[in-house]
Amino acid sequence: MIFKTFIKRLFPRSFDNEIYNLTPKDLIIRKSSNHGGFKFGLSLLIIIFLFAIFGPIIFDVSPYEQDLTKRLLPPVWKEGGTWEYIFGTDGNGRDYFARILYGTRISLTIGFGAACVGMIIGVTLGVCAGYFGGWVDQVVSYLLTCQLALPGLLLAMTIVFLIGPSITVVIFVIGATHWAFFLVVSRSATQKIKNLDYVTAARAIGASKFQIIIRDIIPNTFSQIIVIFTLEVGIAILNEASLSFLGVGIQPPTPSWGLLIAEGKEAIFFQPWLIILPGIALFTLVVSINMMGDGLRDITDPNSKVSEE
Amino acid sequence: MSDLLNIQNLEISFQSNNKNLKTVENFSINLNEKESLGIVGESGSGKTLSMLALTRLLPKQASVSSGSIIFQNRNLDELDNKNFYKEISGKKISMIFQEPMTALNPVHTIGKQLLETYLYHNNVSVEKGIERALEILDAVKLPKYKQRMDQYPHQLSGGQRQRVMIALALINNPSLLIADEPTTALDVTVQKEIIQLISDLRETIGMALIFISHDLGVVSQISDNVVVMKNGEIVEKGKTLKVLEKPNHPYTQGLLDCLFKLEDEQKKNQIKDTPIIKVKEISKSYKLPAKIFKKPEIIYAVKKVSFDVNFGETIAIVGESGSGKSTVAKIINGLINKDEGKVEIKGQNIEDIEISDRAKIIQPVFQDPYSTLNPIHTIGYIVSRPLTINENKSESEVKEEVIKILRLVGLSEEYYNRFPNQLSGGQRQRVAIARAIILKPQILICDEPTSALDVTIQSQILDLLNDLKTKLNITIILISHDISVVKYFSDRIIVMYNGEIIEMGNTNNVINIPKDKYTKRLMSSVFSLKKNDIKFT
Repeated sequence: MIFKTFIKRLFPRSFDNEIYNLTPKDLIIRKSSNHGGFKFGLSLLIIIFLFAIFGPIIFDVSPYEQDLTKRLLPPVWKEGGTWEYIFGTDGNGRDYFARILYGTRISLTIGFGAACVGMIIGVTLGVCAGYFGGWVDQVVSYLLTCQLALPGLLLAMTIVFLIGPSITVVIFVIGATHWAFFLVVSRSATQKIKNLDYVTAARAIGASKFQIIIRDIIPNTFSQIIVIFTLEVGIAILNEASLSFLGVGIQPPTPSWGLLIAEGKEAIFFQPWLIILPGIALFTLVVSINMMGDGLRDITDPNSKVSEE
Repeated sequence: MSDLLNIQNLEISFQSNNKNLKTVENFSINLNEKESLGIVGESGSGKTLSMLALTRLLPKQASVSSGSIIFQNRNLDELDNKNFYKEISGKKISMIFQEPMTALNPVHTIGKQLLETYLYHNNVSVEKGIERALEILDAVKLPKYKQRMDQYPHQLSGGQRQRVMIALALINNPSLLIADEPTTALDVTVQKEIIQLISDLRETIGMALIFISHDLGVVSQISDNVVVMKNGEIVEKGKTLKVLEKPNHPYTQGLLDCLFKLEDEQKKNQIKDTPIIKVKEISKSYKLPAKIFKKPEIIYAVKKVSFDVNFGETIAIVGESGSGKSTVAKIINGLINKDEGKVEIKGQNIEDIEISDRAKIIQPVFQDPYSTLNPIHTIGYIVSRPLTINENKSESEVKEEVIKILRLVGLSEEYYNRFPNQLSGGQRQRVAIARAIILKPQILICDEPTSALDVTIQSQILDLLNDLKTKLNITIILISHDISVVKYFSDRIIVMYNGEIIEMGNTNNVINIPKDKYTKRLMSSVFSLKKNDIKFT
């Protein structure tokens, strides 16, 4: 309800009563304000973003500062926990809340960064394959087959191991191994769009291939790409966690969630919150992104039955 | 005769935006046994919706808000869904839909689909069912009907599929058949056969028929009574001949005028004797993918087609779908490469003309108003794009010109910032025409520019094209399957069949004295409703 009034204030035009007068943007705004899953996912994601940006500024505790006298303190709701260390401390006496807060930044950076890299690779290849067809399509399809045949995580591990781990490397490696969905979706969308009359009309008025791809084709595949994008963000975040857990992703002492889980695994029976807390954080983030992605799919699909109430 | 169906004050509303949109109001019809009723109206007039309400196939958001339906003295409102589907739908009332390509399930054989329908409603053995299925396939005059039982829908042509659809609808001997634009998606020559078939079967089986169509000409052939609908309301009903002869409502009058206007003479362009386009023996073929041990099959879309088009002339290419008429148009426009032959425009080979120059000489207008405009751009952008690509003009000059052209095609300035989804089909087609003429081309290729539009809109767009033709002195190549449009609009006709030109000549000659066998069939298949036809009673 609050969400809706907020959106209505922002875009008053979208809620004019005549559907006939709505631009495509207005329609999407109207639909999205009626999609429960999308609203929930988006709100959660915004909250997580706010935490990532402002959390470390407001909660001014270093995630790296060790205090070996205060090792493995329990979180506040456990016996012996104090408000000074809300989530307790880890094996080196670092504040766990601060570490998880910083981890949010890393997860979001890597998730969105890697998905962007994957999108650029996948969409470029996909649109070219779909538009030009012929041998371009065959080469790209061959690349796709190779990509799908390789075990992604193993490949990423090898590359990170060879180049040496850093956030940038992890982003590019995960991105470079996750473009298959983008390719498949943009290729088939392009094949459909290039046969539509408005593309033929654009050719007839003398538009170049590049102009057609940029102006006519890519903007129309956007609604499908954005859905894949959100899903890939979730996958990339999980991938980063896996890599870090296995020791070839983010290196200690940087607080990545996957690394926190890896470090906590020795204490799983005695201090389970060391694993459970970053686990919950990871779960919440990925669920919120996936719910938003699902919602986006419903909203951007012209045949969807999201009520326009 | 007793009443078969009596619908009183039917009202259908759509749930949208927290309010009820009434789409059909005060819909009352009365149908006797063995009577045939035509429902005429434009798309969105609620003609299909009211029949879907009768068969309980309404889309989810729509619901019947009031009214009663009495069928064979039973109030259908009292039946629950289960009994309705078991006793009425598919057994007493059957429906044929518009699109034969999607109405049959592609993974099941024809026989299986027929049997399913029959056995669901009749408690008989499979052998009896097969017997009945063969009988009905024979009745709908499906060629080689005995082999069809094991075939899949994709092995049949559009007309044959529609015959199977009719067989499916009739297998249980219904007392009422509802045909929802059953011929709109078919070729003209097939259209006539299907309508003849429905009309014959109605007499032999002795059922009542409700025939929904946008085409008054077709309805006048098949129905005793006619109902004219507009914006969800019945504006006129009565005996078909009476309504046609003496329409009471201005809307019906308008529909008839649109039909009759096509008979009137129109202003002709000054035609010079020099050809602007010379087409010499062009061919285009497609290779089917090679099979093992077989040579790849070659299919000719266009085979050695030659003709000239003179300055200022309007030439029409007619033929059924798959006859290669659109391919010819695209080759002339330079949008498809040909295999052989030569296309000269103003004495220059089409391949040798720079693309930007070509754009200023020749422009296309397409059939489907929904795919012809890019949905993410504004109308202003769409219409101005030819200018920004081909000419160096300042932004304000471009905008001025776009608004001028929009006015010329009958759209006001306020459409400049709108998006295509905010426009109706006719308005979109106007925008498409504006985009085509903004570079002031000398040739316009119109590929079925009106066939996706309603009758009244169709005549408006034809008027517009006609107007532009004389104002800007444009040469037009019109591609159409609608003989009445062609007759109204063109100076010469080219008839194509299977990629070849089989007849070419002056419009009146070809229509009145067709020489070729196929042309004769094509011309006789037109349900032309002429002023003179009605004057008898």
